[in-house]
Parts: sequence; structure tokens; C-alpha cells
Amino acid sequence: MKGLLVKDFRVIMVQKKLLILYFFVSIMLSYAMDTSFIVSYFPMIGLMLIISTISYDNHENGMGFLMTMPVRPGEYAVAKYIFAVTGLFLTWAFAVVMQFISLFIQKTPFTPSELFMEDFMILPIFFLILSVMVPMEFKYSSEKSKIVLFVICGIIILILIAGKGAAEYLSNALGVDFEALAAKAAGIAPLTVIFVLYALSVVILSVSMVCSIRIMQKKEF
Amino acid sequence: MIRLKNLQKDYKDFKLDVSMEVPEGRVTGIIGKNGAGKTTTIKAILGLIRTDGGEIEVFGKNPGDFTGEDKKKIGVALSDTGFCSVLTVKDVISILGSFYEDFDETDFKDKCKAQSLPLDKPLKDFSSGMKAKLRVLTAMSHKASILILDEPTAGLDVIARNDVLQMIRDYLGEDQTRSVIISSHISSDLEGLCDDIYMIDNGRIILHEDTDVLLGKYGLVKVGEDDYESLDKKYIIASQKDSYSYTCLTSEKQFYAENYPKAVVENAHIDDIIVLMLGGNNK
Repeated sequence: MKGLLVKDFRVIMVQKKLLILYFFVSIMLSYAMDTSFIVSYFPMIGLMLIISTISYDNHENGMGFLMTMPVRPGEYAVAKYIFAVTGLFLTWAFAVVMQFISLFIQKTPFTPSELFMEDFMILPIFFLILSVMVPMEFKYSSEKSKIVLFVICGIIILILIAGKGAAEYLSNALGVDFEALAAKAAGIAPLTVIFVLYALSVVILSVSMVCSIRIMQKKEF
Repeated sequence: MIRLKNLQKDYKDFKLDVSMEVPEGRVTGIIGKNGAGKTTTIKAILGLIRTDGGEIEVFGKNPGDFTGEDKKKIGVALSDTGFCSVLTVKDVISILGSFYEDFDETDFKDKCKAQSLPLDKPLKDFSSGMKAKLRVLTAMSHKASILILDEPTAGLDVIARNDVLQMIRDYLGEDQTRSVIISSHISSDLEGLCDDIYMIDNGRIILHEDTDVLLGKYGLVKVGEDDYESLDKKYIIASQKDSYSYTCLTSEKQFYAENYPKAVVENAHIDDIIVLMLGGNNK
């Protein structure tokens, strides 16, 4: 497994010029825009680079060759999740540090605990995207997986629209007070929300990893 | 070391059904046309594809049950694939060192230098010959007991082919117990390297023979149309009608040289055997 992690790291480092470019763009953006933007932007770049390592592995039937190395298909899937979660965390942590430095330099007043809470809520979103994208990339080719992802996003949007419609119907027809519910939700302690979000992330990532392991085990190379 | 018994793999328009054995210390060649089933056989041995029947044993285990430790005993070079082409040999060294305890970095670098493989250049900028050499060096980098090489010389010029074949000979020279399975559609590569050869066509083994026997006892018998009728065909494997004569493949060229003075009896190269086995009228 160590070999796989080293390989992924090496593939990422091949794109170091791109990384340096993103680094400077992030610095500029953190000054020009709301500093919280960088906390979403940098992990997003990290996620794209991490996902690209699967495309590189698949390129020219390279996956078949990788499976001749001392690694089983399931281990390959697990290694990819370890690499992805670690990579996401590191890019996010880097972005948070950049955000704080930027705020200090700009002398913008802020409450560290509140900012941390906001930042911590961003990471689970990326874990969710990761949980969808990795099995897609394993199951389908890079191009196909993008189409499938697009379709999934469409379905989610449709569900949200339908949900909104249903909420309006419930509110009008049955008199359910959603504003009161929202106010109640806002009253929940932020730490509890974060705990729930991370617990959910662990569950979703675990389910996604099990799916990915099965996809890899069934795959022919 | 490797045993296949009625290994089967069914595709929509292709069916593989092969049996073969590779003992310790042997170099076994698989030869056949493009699409004959060489790569499918190799992929099945490596556990890269699921099979539809038969048995495969590699070191006494089914490839599906291989652990990482089992895989370390096998060195593999697949045709037209390898490490990601954006990486350099330096990256490859780092990766191989992380995968294999027996990887000898100094030795690998020396061999790369001997083959003029640059350490800092991305693999995508390598020539076909350089890529092929790196694939074979990678397979040999961790002192594997068996090398499985799928078309390691395909698309190479004669110099690069000789270099690759010499690398394999050197590897075998280091330890007499090492085995090699090598597939190719270039017969001359196998003639000088293999102890025995399996000829595969349309998913089936049509001939298995020691290379010494193929080159020593097999031959071509050329006779006129009239003489062909009276020819004793008990040692004729296949024959092909030319304009005014017949060319026959025999497994006992001495018999025809002694008993048919009017017949022209020549040594057969593997290419001749392939042409007659696949193109002639098999007896």
C-alpha cells in the first residue's frame, strides 16, 4: 500500500507547477475576496488533483499493470481513500492557515471560534463529493464518470426543487411552520452540528469505500 | 511453478481453452498471431481477468488468492502499458523501492544507465525501445522467481530487441531456478531463448514442443504433385500446395531425407512451422 501512496504523491508532484500557480492565485483571492473563499477553493483544487490520480492510473490500461504489483484490488481502493482524505485535510488545513494569516495582515476583526466552526463545516461537503466521485471513477472511465456525476447533480437539483414544492404544499395545506423549525435548528449548538456532520461523513465515506472495494474486486484489467 | 488445466475464458467472439505447464528453471514461449489468445492467457495467470472454467495454479495457488507477498515473486512486463507516462525513472525508482524490499536501487540505476535510460525525463518522451527496456528492467528489479513478459519486443528494431533479450538472458544467468514465460509473435526471439514453445491459435494450443526438438527434428519436405500422392504421411503434420509442388511440415525430417531421395528436405524455422500449422491443411 505504501507503494501506491508514494505513486499518487509522485503523480501529484508532477503537477507541482500547477500547484504553485494555484497557491499564488489563492493568496491573491484571499486578499481580493472574502477570506472564507480560500477555504472552499483550495480543497476543491486538492480534490480535483486527487481524483486526477485515478485517471492517470487508468491511462493506457495502467491499472492492469498496477494490479501486477504487490497489491490487491481492494487495497488499491483503500489506499486511494487514505490518500484522498489525507490530501483533502491537508489542503483544507493549509487554506485555514492562509485565511488566518490573511485576516491578521488585513487587521480584520474576527472571532476565531466562529471562524473555525465555519471552516469545519466545509470539509464534510468535500468528503461527500469524494464519496460520490471515487466509486464513479472506479466504475466508469473518466469521461463517463463526469457524465454520471452531471446526471446525479441534476437529480439532486430536481429533488431539491421537488422538496421545496412539497414544503410549500405542506406549509399551505397543512400549516406546517418551517420558519419555526428553521429557527429551532439554528438554536442547536454548533459543536453538535459539526459532530453530526463528521459522524455522517465517516458513515458516507465508509459506505463509499466498501462500494469502491467491491467495484475494484469485480473489475477485470 | 505454473500449471493451467483447461483454462477457459469466453468472450463474445472468442473462446480460450488452454492447458500448459511451466516448471522451475524453464523458459517457456507462447507464440501465435495477434489475437490468438496470448495476452488473455497471461492475464489469466496474473489474475487480472476472471476465468470461466478450468484450473490455474501459480506457486500452488489460484491467482485470485494471491497476497502481496505472492505477487512479489512475480515480475511482470505487459505490452504497451506500465507506469503512468508523466512519471520519470526517478519516480519509478521511488515507487518500486516502496513496493519491494528486494529492490536494489543502485543496481537498477546502473542497468538504466547501461541501457541509456535517462532518470529525469518523463516516460512519455521515451522511445518505444526505451519504454520496452524500462518495462523489462522493472519486471526484473526485485529478484522475482518468475518473469511473465507479454510481447516484450513488439514494435522494436533489431538492436533494441537484442538488448531486451540479452537482459532476459543475463537475469536467468544470475539464478538457474528462475523461470520465464514470454509471449511473442516474433519467432526468432523465442528460438534463441526458450526451452519449450507453445503455439496458440484461436484460443487453443495447437503445438507444444521443446525448442531443440522443433529445430532439430521438424523440417520441411518439398515434393512434386506426383510424389506427394505416394508420400508416407505418417510424420506429416501439415501440408500446403504451391504452384506445382507441395510443402509439408514433418516432425521427422530424417525419415524423409533417408527414404525419399527425390524430396527436398530442409530445416524448419518456427516461422515456417507457424505458416504451415496455421495456413496449411493440417493432417
